[in-house]
Amino acid sequence: MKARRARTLRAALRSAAPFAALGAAVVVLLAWLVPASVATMRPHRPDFALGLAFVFLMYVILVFRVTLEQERGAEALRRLQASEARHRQLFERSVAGVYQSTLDGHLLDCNDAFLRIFGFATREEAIAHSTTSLWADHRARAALVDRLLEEGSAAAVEMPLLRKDGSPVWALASLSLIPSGDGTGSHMQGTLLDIGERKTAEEALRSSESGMRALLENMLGGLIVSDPAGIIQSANPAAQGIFGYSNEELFGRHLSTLVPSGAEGDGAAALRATFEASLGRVTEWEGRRKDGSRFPFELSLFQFDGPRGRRIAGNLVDVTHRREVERLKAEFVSTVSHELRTPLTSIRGSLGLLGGGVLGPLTADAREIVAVAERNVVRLIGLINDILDLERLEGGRLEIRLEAVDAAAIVARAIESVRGVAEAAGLSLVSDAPAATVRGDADRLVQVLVNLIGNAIKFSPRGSAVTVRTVPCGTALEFQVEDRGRGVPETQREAIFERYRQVEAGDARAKGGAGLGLAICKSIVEQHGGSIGVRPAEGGGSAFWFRIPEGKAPRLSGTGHATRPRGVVLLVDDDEELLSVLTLRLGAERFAVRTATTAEGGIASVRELTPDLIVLDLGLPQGDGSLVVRALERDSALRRIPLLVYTGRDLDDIDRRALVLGPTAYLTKARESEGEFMEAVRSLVEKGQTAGGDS
Amino acid sequence: MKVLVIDDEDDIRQISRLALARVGGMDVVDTGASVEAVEMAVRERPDAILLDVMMPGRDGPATLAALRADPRTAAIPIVFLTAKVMPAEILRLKELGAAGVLTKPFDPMTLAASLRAVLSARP
Repeated sequence: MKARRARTLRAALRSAAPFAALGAAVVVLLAWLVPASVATMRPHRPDFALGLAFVFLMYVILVFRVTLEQERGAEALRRLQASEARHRQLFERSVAGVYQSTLDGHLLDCNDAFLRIFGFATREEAIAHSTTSLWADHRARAALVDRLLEEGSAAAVEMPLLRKDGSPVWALASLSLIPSGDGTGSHMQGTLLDIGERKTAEEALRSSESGMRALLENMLGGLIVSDPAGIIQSANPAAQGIFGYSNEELFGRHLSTLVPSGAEGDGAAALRATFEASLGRVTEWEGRRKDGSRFPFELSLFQFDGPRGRRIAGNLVDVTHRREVERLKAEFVSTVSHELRTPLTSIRGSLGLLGGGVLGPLTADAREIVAVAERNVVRLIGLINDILDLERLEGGRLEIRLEAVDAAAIVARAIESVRGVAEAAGLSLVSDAPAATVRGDADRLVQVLVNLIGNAIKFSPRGSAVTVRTVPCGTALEFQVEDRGRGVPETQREAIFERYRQVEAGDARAKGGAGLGLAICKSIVEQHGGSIGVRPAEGGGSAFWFRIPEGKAPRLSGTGHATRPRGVVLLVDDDEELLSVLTLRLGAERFAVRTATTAEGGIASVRELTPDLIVLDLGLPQGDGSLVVRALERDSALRRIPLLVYTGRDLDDIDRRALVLGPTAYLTKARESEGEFMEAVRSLVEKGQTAGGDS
Repeated sequence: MKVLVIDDEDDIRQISRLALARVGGMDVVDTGASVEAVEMAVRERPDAILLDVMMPGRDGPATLAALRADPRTAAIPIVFLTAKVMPAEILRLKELGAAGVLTKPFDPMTLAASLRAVLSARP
């Protein structure tokens, strides 16, 4: 301010200087001319000079004042021009659209940004296009003008406008009234920003949010969201219904309110640890309702990062009803099982006694008819068993015990149980199954094989062969049952594994069976973690196959399929670890191994398998191992089986004399080496087989 | 060998009797009333008892408990005859202390042999 004043002063002095010099010259001239012309007026000369000086001073001041005023005006004009240039620049270069218009909407002026926003090429074009046609909603414009007239300005108004081409554009505007140029009324002036992108994103977010909210509000499953400390943030209506609390009641409470198992002691921390372990999996929990009642629910937990930090969300389903249905179904299956079997027992029994001639001799015709009836009763029983099996399999109530089992023994058992049927059908059974260990339930795998071989027999022409073989297939073993029947059309290769499906509708009557067998096979194989299928056999017919993961014992490679087990060894011991070690060791030497952990199980296995050697521990959980010897020595068919008593006890001679079957040896655990054990096994199996061959 | 058959179904009792006596050559006594089991076992002194599982009133397991509770019948081996064939069910019955479990429907021509086999397997 001071500087500007000084500058103006200097400029005024500069401008006034020539006038001052001119004034000074006139005064000097006067002072020189006057004394000469009026010498007589001498006494008055000082007064005259004084007046002259006064006039001169006045003149100088006058000149200076005028010059100063002029300078001030010029400075103001310069400042105004600079300011206007700045404002014009601001106006032109602004990213915001700036415009002025009359109150009834005629555009007076606008900047380039305004042109860009609305898609005009030139200012003239924009002005020609009335502002009113830029409004999507004229009532909104009228309301805005009313507000402007009342309040003078409006800031940050979101306005839906239209571009030149009619497309919508969302603008954020600040508007104000300005006096019109002629001073008779008002114009309006506005600044606009195109917020279309932001608006689109907002719209998308809002619609996705409202979609999500609708989803959460209406989903059947409960959803509860908590913070990482387990403090409940929200619960959807389903979750509120499940637990009997309102959202307001749940907000801010700890999850242990709903899941009591974590409530005792260090509840929160324990619950958090359990929750963390459950992330990403479906787990089952016991919940507590508001009324204190407990119920089972399934929970799927996940976490996400929300605007207020990490959140844990649980999607939950009350399974009370499902559990009840499962229980009723199991009960129903059990009851039906009993109710159907009771009359069938009487029918089967009566026919058996008649056919067996127990009640007197029958004529040939009568025997044949009784045999027909008996065969069909047995078939009916089989069907009922199939249906119950399938129900149990699918309800997860059929226990499958996975252990290392010998594939060769499974094939042998399956073939043995269908040999009679095959012979009656005039078929030969061929097997090619080297010793190999798979992880499975021996009884269930035999069931699958019997089913597949049974089917093969049904559909094979008389005189042909059904071949059963096992082939290594990656980390699994593939069991194959090949027939020379009519084959399975490609379109049906998957369908036949569904329930009640057969290749031809008439098969159920012609060949028997309800079409459940393959569905059962599939279910059993899948519970083993395996797969099942059918493909055309080379040379006609079909090859049904299923793959079961291999067990722990290494399969001998390079020995070829022709390798037969050297013998079947039954291990009776309750030490599971020892069993798996011995199974492995014996498997490596091509012995087929079966195991039993109780005396009773051992006896049953001996009757079923007639093994080449029994390796017997004495200290068993239910009954002493000597019970096995007691049971077998009474059976003429079994008392010659070689026996290796392998126990931790020290046996004296009296003990040993009481523990003898066929060739018998005694080894003490942890005293004899593995080599001695294997030597004893080899020698006993050999002795038994030689003796068997002699007799 | 003398066997006591306890089953509420008359038909099945009759078939069991024929299967065990005529085919298996055993002496057979039977009753349909499980509450008479102890009294009958004391009187008849059987070598084994073939016991149905599902019976109205006192069922198989309860009958077994009653027989075991009386010192005069505690030692008689008991074999269950059941129409329930789930492995878990069979295991449960064995754990009650039965000598064995046979399942229905049975083949009458081999019932006696199966019973003998089960009995010979026990200590």
